[in-house]
Amino acid sequence: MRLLLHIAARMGMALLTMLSVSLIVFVAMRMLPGGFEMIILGPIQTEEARAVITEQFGLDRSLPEQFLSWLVAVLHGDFGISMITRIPIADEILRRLGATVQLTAMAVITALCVGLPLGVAAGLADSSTSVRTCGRLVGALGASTPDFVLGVALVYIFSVWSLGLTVGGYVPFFEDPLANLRAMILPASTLSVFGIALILRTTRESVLTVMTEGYITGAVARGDDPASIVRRHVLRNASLPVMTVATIYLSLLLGGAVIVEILFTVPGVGLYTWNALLNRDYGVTQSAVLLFSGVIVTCNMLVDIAYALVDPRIRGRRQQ
Amino acid sequence: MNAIVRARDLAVDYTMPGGVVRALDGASFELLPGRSLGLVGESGSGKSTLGLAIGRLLPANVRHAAGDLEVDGRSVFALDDEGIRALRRTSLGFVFQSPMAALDPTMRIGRQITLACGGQPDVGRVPELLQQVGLPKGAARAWPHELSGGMAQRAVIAMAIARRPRLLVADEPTAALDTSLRAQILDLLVALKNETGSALVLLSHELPVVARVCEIIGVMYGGRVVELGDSAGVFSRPLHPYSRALLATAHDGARPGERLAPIPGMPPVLSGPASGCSFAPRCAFADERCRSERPPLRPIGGRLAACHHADGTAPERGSGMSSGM
Amino acid sequence: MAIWRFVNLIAATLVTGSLVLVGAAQAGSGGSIAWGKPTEVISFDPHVSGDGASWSFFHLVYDQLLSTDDDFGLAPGLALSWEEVSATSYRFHLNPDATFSNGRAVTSHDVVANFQRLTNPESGGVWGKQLGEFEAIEAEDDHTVRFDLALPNPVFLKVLPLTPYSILPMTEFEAGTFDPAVDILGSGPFMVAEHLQDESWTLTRNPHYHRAGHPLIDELVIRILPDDSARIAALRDGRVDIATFANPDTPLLLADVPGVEVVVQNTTNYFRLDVSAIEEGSPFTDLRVRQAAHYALDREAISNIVFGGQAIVDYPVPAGLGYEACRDDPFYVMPRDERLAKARALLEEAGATGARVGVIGSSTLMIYPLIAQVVQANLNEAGFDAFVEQIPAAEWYARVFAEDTDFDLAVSWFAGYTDPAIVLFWWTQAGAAGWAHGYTITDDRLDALVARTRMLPEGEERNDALAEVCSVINENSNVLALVNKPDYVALRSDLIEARIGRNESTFDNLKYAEEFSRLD
Repeated sequence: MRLLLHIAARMGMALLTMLSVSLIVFVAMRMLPGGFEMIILGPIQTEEARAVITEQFGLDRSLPEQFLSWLVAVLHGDFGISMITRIPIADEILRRLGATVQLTAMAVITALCVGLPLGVAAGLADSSTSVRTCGRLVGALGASTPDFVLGVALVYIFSVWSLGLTVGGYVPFFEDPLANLRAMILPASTLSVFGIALILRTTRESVLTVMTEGYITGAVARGDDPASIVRRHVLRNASLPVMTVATIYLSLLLGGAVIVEILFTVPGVGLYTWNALLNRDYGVTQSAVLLFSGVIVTCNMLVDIAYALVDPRIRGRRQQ
Repeated sequence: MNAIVRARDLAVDYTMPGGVVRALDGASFELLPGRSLGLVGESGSGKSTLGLAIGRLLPANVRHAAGDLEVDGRSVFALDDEGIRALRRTSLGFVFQSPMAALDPTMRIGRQITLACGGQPDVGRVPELLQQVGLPKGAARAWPHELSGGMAQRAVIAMAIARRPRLLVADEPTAALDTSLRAQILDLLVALKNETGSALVLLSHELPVVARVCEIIGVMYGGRVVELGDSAGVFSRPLHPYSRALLATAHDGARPGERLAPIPGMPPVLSGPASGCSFAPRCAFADERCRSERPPLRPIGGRLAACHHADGTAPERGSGMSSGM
Repeated sequence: MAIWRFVNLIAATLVTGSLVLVGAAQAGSGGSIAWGKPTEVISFDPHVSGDGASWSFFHLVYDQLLSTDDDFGLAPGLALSWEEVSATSYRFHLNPDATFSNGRAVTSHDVVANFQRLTNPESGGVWGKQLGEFEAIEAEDDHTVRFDLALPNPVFLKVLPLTPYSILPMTEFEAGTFDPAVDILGSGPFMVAEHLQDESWTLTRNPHYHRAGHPLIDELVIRILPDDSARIAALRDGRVDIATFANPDTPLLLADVPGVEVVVQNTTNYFRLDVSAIEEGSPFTDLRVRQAAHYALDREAISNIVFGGQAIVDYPVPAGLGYEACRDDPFYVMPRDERLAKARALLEEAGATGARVGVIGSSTLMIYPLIAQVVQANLNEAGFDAFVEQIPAAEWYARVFAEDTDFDLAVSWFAGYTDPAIVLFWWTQAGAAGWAHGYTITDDRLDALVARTRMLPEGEERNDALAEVCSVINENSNVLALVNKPDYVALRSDLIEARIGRNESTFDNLKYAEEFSRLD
């Protein structure tokens, strides 16, 4: 019962967060100079033609009125239409979700597959060995190279030598898996570099910390071999901070995905949001931000639960 | 009978950013199977280093400088990695200071004891161990954080004896516990030693406690064992001036880790072998010889002591040293 | 176990994927050509759409009454022939084979209703104003339309090939089955089969297209690839057969891509600099400061630095149209040192030396900020304290093309179209209404002069009038023409046969798309 109450409270907070984010984004977007009616008609246009557009989309109503009607519609499950294509936003986002999910999934998986083993290796290695130096170097470089710098470099390099990979040739995975992967490898790699560095560094530090714990000394004193110590004790205990960082990474990823999708012309939700922002297609940005904040809030809740699964102390605290 | 553990002039150095620190400076002792030894000394005396050296558990920045340490007749410094692991598994059991830190917080107690048994113990072995250390059967299902400090230390002891070691090393096993629990845990260790026939090395800074539970006492100072002999003898009539000082302060109730206030001066920090007696700067009886010539650990009256004056060659000066005994 | 299920899934996916591929290869015989386009179509209604990026798309789907040839001359469009009945009356004979892609023939009624919609300020917007006023638009029969103008307008015919004058299916519009804001339905060579926003347009041949056997290809896929490098990569690996560029480095960048040919498509478009001449607080409200900025401009430097020497100096009367007007203007011909000296003197006289001015180079086009940087350097040489503002399109629009403006200088461009009078109209009060009123001065003399050039037929008199307009515009130094703005079309000539117009004044970059064919 207590657990249910706790979850309910968490969800309430989550919804409140999403509402606040929506409101902030709504206000921020309307404070941006230039409106949809200018974008759609171009600079050389008459007042009359612009007025037709603002009236058509209710952009001439007061801001609270506009926000409330948007909110009421969303609560009824209606995200409205894109002012540019006049297609339901939900459909447009749904169509693009695949690319973004695939991109972020590939980036997370790559970051974990590369960052975790390297981080563990760097954490376990003696301070003198090159493994640790290498780990530090990769960590520092990867974490300090912005996605867009790396992305621009990669786009340029692969426009000269394609190496079988494509830039801007996105095809849905189930249409042509090979072409899809060829198009997604570069953006996903770009997106994963920061994650690799982040996860590598966190894992390394986390492993280093765990290695000084009493239960590791205890296991060593019992004569357990290093491999089983790592497997039984180090990985489990080192995973907690890594999980936290992985969530932070996931939130950063959504931001990174926007940049990478723009750079590599991956038609995902990020590119959609960005273009909508530039085009002042308010409803689209609004809905996409709602989605993003929902994902982040959900991720945080999932990590909470995962934490409890790994660390019984937290579970105990919650149930008591 | 061969000694279960024997140290001969063991010297090890810590490599620190500021230079080398000698932690053990020619420590010697030996212990026969089934017997119990209490190593007593201030923090910094080298007793913990000696305890770790038994299992070659010294940190990576420690260098074996001289001497040797044998467990069951095998030099721990000569064994390869797998050899030392095998020795730890078959012959040694360790109990450390903080029981909560010694338990993996992400694993149930039963699982941890199972792993300590080698992974696939006989059915009934885990309950048997729990019963041996005085824990209820249900404790197997418990998570470490659900146990009290005393119960956790019992669980740690259960893990230490899981593979029936021939030597149990306990480093300040009660330091992190409530005073009321300390006697219980020490008694448990002694009981287990008697029950299983293993030897016990108990490291502590409290001479009276060690004297109560151990058959033999070794007093450590400056990285050496400066006096070694049967508990009753050492406790009632210490030979080494340091032993006497230690005993005196014990009565004053020093807290763990505190310096021995009644003895003027600081414990030594050595960077190499001490040229004389390392206690000399703090010793009321020290003379020129004490400062220039290392006193060997020599037999005096059925005990061993490393003091030029321990056999009464120096006049008994000072007063109150033996008061209250 | 789980891993095997996963492997099976992948195998199944691969098999399905290859089946889809086989299916695609079997469709049609004329094949498919892909165009790498840098910008997405923003608005769907050609009558009010204001951006060239959308226009180049509309021409593939919609037809206009008239078209242009490769020398900026008029050519038949939906009207096979036309006659000037009088100075104010024109008659068009529609192509009887012209049919919308839904199978319905284009009729006179569609044309009449189109121009009625265009002249309504709400639905036709600014483009209706270029037409002037009509006395009547009449369908004489199903395929003959007559326009009676209120006043003579020699430019009337010349605006008809422009995108905003596309002929929409007005019968369907009136029946409510066609909404130009959402639907795209024309009588042009292609029709829209699918649109994935920001990703692609799939156009298929209009089966009812009036030119028998055309288009030769079955499908034209437009891939939206905003990044230059991405379009180059796509050309290289054959994902697109044609790509358009605005970047003058294009021929250089594509020099070593095998099979690629770059066509420089001359246009009548040119970059311009808008000067804030009426906003309170702008130093440019003072004519002397505006003229100082104008004298300070170094158009050769813009061409050399931004365009690698490829761009040509341009004038209010577009150089691309071949008129001699403006060539001797002191703002252009005076040597650079003298112009700078003059600029400094004017600035000092106005007491504006060291004036802090922003040069807006919107990020809408990657060229804008680059031009803004050169302008900044030019101005600083003359004693201004200029800085570059790189801002998104919407902000640029809001700060410049509004009632209350908030800027000093802004880089932009004008379409030159097919006749100088069309672009010069934007300089007049009527033309500037609704978008440039916030930063342009009113000059009745200029309005009268522009109106006069509009009325005059081609000839000596018109050339003189154009020269006069030009010198007034330069004198006012309110909107400054900079350099021309050609388009670059790159094509895989080893894979496709594609005729590209060398001169293009209506944004119809792929004017001959219906004749494109695959070589492989």
